[in-house]
Amino acid sequence: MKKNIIFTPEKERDSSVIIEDIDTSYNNLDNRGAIKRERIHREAKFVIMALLLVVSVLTGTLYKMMTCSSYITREELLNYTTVSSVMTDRFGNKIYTDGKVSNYPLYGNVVGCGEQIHNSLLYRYSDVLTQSEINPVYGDSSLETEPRVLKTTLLSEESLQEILDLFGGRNGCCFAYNYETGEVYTAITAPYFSPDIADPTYINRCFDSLYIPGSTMKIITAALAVDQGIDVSKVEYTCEESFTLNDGNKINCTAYHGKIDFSTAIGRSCNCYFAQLITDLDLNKALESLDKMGFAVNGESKDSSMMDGITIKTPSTVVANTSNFRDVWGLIGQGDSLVNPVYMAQAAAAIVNNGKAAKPYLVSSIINPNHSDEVIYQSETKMTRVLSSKTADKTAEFWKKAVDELYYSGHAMSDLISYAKTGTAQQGDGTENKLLVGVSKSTKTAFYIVVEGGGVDPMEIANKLICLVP
Amino acid sequence: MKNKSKRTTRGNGFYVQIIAAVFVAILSIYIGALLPAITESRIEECNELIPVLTQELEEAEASKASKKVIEEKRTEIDKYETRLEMLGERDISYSISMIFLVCVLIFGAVISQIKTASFPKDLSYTSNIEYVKYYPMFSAPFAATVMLLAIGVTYQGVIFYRISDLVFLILAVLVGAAVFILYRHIPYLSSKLAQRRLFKSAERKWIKSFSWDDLLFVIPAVLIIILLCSVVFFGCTINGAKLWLKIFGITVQPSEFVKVLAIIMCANSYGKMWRAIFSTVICCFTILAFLYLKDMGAAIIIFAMIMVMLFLMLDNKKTFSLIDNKKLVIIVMLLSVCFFALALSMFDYAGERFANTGSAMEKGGQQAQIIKAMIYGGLDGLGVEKSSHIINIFAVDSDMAIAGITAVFGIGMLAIVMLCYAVIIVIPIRRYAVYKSFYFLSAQVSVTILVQVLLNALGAIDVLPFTGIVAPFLSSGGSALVSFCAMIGLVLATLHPVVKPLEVNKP
Repeated sequence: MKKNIIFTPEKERDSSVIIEDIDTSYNNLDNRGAIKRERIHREAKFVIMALLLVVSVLTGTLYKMMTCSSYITREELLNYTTVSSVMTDRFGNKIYTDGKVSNYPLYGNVVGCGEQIHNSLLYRYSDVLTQSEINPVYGDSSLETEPRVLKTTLLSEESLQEILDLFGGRNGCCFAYNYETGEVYTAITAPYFSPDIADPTYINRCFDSLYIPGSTMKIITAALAVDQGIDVSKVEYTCEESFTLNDGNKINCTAYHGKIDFSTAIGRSCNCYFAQLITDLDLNKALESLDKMGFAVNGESKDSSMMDGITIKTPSTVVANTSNFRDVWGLIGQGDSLVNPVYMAQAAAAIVNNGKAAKPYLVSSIINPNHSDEVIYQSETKMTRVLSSKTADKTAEFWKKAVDELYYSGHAMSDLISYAKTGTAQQGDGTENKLLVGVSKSTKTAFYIVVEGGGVDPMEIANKLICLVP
Repeated sequence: MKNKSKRTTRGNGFYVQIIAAVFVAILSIYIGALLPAITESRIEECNELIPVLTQELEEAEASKASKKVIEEKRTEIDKYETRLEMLGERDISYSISMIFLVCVLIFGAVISQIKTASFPKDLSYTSNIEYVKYYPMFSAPFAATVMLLAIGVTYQGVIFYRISDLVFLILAVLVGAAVFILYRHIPYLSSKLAQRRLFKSAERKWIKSFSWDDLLFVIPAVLIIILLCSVVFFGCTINGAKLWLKIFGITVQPSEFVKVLAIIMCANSYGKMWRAIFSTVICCFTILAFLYLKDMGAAIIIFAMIMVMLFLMLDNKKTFSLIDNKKLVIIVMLLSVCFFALALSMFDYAGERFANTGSAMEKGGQQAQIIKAMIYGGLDGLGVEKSSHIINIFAVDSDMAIAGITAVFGIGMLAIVMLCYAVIIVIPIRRYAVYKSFYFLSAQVSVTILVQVLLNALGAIDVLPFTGIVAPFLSSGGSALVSFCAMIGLVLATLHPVVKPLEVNKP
């Protein structure tokens, strides 16, 4: 044997040759089974090693995907939802599709735009419109293959355009809803949101704004007085164009009214009558009633009411002393009172409708068109009691009397409107807002209209509106 | 005897490589068809953004904004301009790269069928060694490597890909082939030359005993020291790590080459204790240098190399290790573990990375973004059209390549990638070595790739510390690509030895 150079130590050489021995003796039939077993044994651990590597990385990745899906925020999910969902008006016409609103001035602020408008349907319903959590196994394809159709209760584009045209380019809002079923007909707001205009507005004035109520507050105050058990039919005060309060401040009136009763005071919107009425109210009872009616009184915080997840701003007022100038003014409609259109429409409806009014809602149903129109969400009418029926009936009786006998002769009020109360609110900057709260008994509609800066009679808008509602 | 040597060992190399070629071709056709439309939309996006950003910059300059703001705007404009440039080159360089890779695979398949009858006789340099009849050196690990390169090119193509990347790809394949051919003949050269002494007439005994084998150990060691010193003193800083050298306008990352050299050095220290201790010391120096240069991943890999080298020395039956002093080996092992722990504790950022593991989702940042992209992708991935979700994530093409591939192509592609890695890692250590240092060599390469893959795949998704290490064959970066192809060249040279031992007379 020659000198071995490669495998210097003799004993090592054997180990390397073992394999060769196995290979060469493979042809030997007697040994074949044993050799095969040995080979499998030898290879098995390497196969296991390879599988271990693959499986460890795969499980690590899948584990991370499963556990981290909760970290995906709503905003990030919205990037995916905008693609698939469709929204329609009450007649089934598409108002939102392919991530775009069909008519931004009419629907922009209600439908919303991703995370830019939080108080909107698109944002609040992102979890229903798709899935609230992304499925880590199917990824974003799980979101896209399941479109949803959200049917709103809004009026058609043509009807809303007619109402908006009456505003004549002025800022304001118009909220109307059916107080027996709760369907919201319009929530028009101006200015509006659109991605195409330079200075879009992200709030909806119907939901997010608080207005100084002006004389429209007087129906609340009237209900307060009735709620206290005062027999208002017998209460009469004299109006001498101004009334001096105990603290020496004067409440001014628009005209000399003389001796007037409750319904005339509502009809003529007499400040002096209401000032004297408020001074005679029991403070604690009044606060209790205001609280029951949903006001946040004297700076206390109150949970905002929700309409399909959309937050409605809570109205507020300050009443510390019924003989205090500012507080009396507040209950008359100036001062520190602030109301929300949705709330006022609901309150007016409750007064007319035995103290009960339906909770307004915007979404009538959500269906899955891919699964033979499977209904995912169906709205329900929820009645809420705002006032006792006795109070409501009595207030309504006087309000009706005021409307019928004394009031609105000058306004071209439609026959369909049964109750109405106008208001004028002085703003801090000297401008005046024109407001109108009203109820139509025949169409079961309650509405609240604000025209900022005046210039347009809200009654005209109301007349149009009441013709258009179903 | 003669009958036995005629037994062919053709193996499955041919079929494996043809299947890989079909996979690469389908991938390239499928993605290549989608790319032009995506490119157009992205170019449009850049063209829209650049004027807006330029206007913003002008406004900022006019209003005398702070320098920081202006600089930020400038870098953003630069980013989009380079992106525009890259997009212009992408489609053509992507298709050339994929055609090149298919050709490489077909070439490998053809080569594996050629009989090398005349080759062995000329080079049959030892008595007990004979060449195999076929040339099946290209087989499963080779096919897996090219498949990984193809997946990497495709992924880079989805993000950005330029002509320079294509040049580096071709260069890397050529370097791999060169290393392969060179290293295949090491047994021959070594056995011929090992009989001679380098310094015959030297007086001192230790010089006399210095052999050619020692030279294979000394050359890489010296090169490692030179490269590291050049980086430490002349390196330039990119993204907070001082790892790059600028040579004629091209930035190279010597730390990647240091890994290859360290593998050769460690593999050749199989025989003598002084070599083992010496290479341990050089590796420890390398670890310190890497930690100083803020490349923690490379330091971990070098540490793994020391461990593997010393561990294999304990088993001299399988690895031909000549060292019988096992106690000393274990002592060296323990000392190097202590050293590594000490070195890690010396640098604050290293500890921070260990401590931060597991809290990436709360902090946001690049890891959270890639995990979210993976979740959006789900089983079937985001797809090429929606890949724009991830292109702005920092280092998505390098340090988070495997996670990025999962996000774009889905879990299925991750499984394919990991199987390819498993083939590359497991097959080299599956066989007993024929030549002395070869088992060391393949084990070192396997462990390097294993550690690198695990740190990249699980580091990016916040399971292991995020060390900023590239994924072999997938990440962008020319130096890494070249060094990994060189490693595969080494492994393939050891894997199907030209030589196989003949029957030995048993005592």
